[in-house]
Amino acid sequence: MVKAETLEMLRREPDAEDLDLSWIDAPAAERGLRVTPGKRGLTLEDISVGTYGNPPEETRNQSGRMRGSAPRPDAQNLGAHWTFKSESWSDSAMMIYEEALQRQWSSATDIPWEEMPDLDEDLELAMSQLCTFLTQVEFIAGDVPGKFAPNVSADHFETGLFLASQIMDEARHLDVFRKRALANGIGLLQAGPGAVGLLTAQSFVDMTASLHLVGEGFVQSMFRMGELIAHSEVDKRIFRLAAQDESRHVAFGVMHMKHLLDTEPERKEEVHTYLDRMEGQVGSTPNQAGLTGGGDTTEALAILLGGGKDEKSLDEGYRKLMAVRRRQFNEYLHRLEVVGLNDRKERLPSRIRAFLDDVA
Amino acid sequence: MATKTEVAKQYVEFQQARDFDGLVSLLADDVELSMPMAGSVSGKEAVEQRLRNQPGGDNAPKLEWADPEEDGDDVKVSATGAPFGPLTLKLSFNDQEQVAKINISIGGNGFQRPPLDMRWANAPTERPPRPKDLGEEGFTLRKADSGSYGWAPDHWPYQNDTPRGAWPAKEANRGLPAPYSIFDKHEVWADNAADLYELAIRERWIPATEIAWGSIEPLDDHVEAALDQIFTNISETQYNSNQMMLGWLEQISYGFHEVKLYLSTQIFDQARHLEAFRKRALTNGGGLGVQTPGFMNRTVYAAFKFTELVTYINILRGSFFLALCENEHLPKSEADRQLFGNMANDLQRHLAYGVDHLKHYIRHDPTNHSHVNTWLARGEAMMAADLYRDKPYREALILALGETVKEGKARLKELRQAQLQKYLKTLEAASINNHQESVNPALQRVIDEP
Repeated sequence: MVKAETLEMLRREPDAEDLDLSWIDAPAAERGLRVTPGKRGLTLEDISVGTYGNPPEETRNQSGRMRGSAPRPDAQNLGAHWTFKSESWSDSAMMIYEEALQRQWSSATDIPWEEMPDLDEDLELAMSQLCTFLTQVEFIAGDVPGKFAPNVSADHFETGLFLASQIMDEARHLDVFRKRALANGIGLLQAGPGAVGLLTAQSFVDMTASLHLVGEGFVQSMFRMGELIAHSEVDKRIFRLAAQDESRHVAFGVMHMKHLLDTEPERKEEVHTYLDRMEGQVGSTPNQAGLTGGGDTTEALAILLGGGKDEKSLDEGYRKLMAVRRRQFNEYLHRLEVVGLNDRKERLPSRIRAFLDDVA
Repeated sequence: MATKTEVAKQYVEFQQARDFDGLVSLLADDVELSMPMAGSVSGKEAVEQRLRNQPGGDNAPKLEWADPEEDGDDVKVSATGAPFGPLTLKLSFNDQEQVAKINISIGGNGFQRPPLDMRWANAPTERPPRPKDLGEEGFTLRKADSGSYGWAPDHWPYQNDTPRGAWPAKEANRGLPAPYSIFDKHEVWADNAADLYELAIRERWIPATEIAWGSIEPLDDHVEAALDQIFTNISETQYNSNQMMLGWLEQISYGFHEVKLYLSTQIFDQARHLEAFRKRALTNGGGLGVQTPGFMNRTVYAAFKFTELVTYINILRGSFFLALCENEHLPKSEADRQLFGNMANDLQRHLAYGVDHLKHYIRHDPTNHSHVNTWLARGEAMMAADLYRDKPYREALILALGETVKEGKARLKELRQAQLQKYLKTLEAASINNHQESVNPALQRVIDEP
């Protein structure tokens, strides 16, 4: 709080007759904060204190006023922001955003491109095809969250920060898989149907269910098996770094969904319907079919996993691909259990249940 | 009597037609059904029940079945089309050629992989040269996108997410057309987008750990309050810019990937600006101040065209903030200097994109000049409204810039002039010359009498 005598002194200064200073005299926002950095520096969690912490469960803030700052009665109303915290909040957003900043990497300089070995041509073709698929779908995962960002209230801005970090990650993924396809003499190959279907999400919850719990989750499981797919240290490093990024995205989605179902359990059936759609249970093409599972990509993955296209290698490749699928579905089910959808297992279609560890 | 192969063929036909009566007619009374996902059942009635109630019901995927193949005494039929891998159906028979065992497997011992296809490997795309002599900047987008990969067409022809340079899927296999609305290069393009993308990644910084937070010394309360008011303004407007840039990504078609990538860096920069200055406001005995009037925020939300958005965010707001960040009187500590310096560095890139984009937009069609002028006039009027009505921000600048009110006012005038000059020079670089003569009078008034 500024002392009264200081204000008085300021008002008495030459040329100060037009100063109002009421904003400093009677501040409407909390003052006196002296947040100090912790072990991980000065983080968002550190500054989430007093009135600056505790995002409101419901807000009428439609002006873009940052949480904790003082309102003006004449502020413009943008009429675009979600009212309820549950719509977009994830308890992990602050931590994940800070982690994203710490773990940024450069596709140009953090991948040992000059150490790229000459691969067998079939393996190189398969890797280029896989990368064509990945560069095609990765930025859809940027476009989708972008679509909802203008609606995130400034009272829940941490979600907006996380979305920005995810979009940066997705940009790098589009970029690194494109570069990988172009790095070893083959180039991009056959594009497929892509992942535009994810853009049909009509709400943030619809998005986290379809993009984070399903799409990103499946890609993360695949990246985490990159050691099996990759045939060079270059490729292994790409998959490791990309998997690290995807883990953050999945964690955001899981914690958002958990928050939603903890606070609004009546929305459980609604969430199930988004999963029904993604699993192909509502009569349309499963969106997830294209993600890591489409025909061209499947064959490319099998060649990479088996180490070639001769009969024996292909048999081995498809066997390993089944292991990748198994991991994808088991991790998917685990995510659903964490968010509180324990009954999902019974609702899975048989072709998915076939992959679960405790069913086979 | 039908052969085992013929029975298997019939079984598949009944399965495809979901003719369960037909299916049941082929079964032995003691038939066993084994589905790894659902366990085993035995007896005709139980098997019938299971067949009629398959998960997925009528919406189960349509499978493509291969011809039946004899496998010893059994017959195997493989199927593709299940989204998660091929299936194998294995039928065993009794001596009346009735189906005695049905085994459906995915993977495992019964797994049969599809035949090798590899048509994708024949996609007639360009074979790029291998990168060499990468240098310190590494394998940049510009180096990677050589030959036809680097050529962005004036009009992008694909409505889905086909990557530029890949062989497009056949029309019927392209999936949903995306909601993209920007297919013309001139609406988003800047020649420097790819380079700015890589530069932004090289110049990334981390507010939590790369700012000398410990260097901030206690300030006079009114100076700290003044700085915090300025930080509040930065945080709010950067969030506003960030949100709308994010929102426009889904409008930009996939063929202009350099632009989407560059914008991602700008969005991330803006997030960092919000975060960093909010942190600064809460570290030194202060807190946030009063929100802005929001005229400019509203204008950013209301942009109808992407170039209009860039005009407001990158050119107008960007120029004014850059001059603010470059002001030598504002920072009071090493941390402040780092914060303003890092933000200025980021803004230089935002301006560079904006300048190059506006130049491209105007060069594409000189009549676009009038659109830009309209947006400039509108943006200037709204900027002026904010500056004129934002008493806390004005007074905060006066208190933060000078040791006395008089000095503060003089320096505010210098700052406003510097902001205007930065803005005019930015416009000149974008091939918009002599704009000084047409600056909106309301903005000119706030500059002259801040």
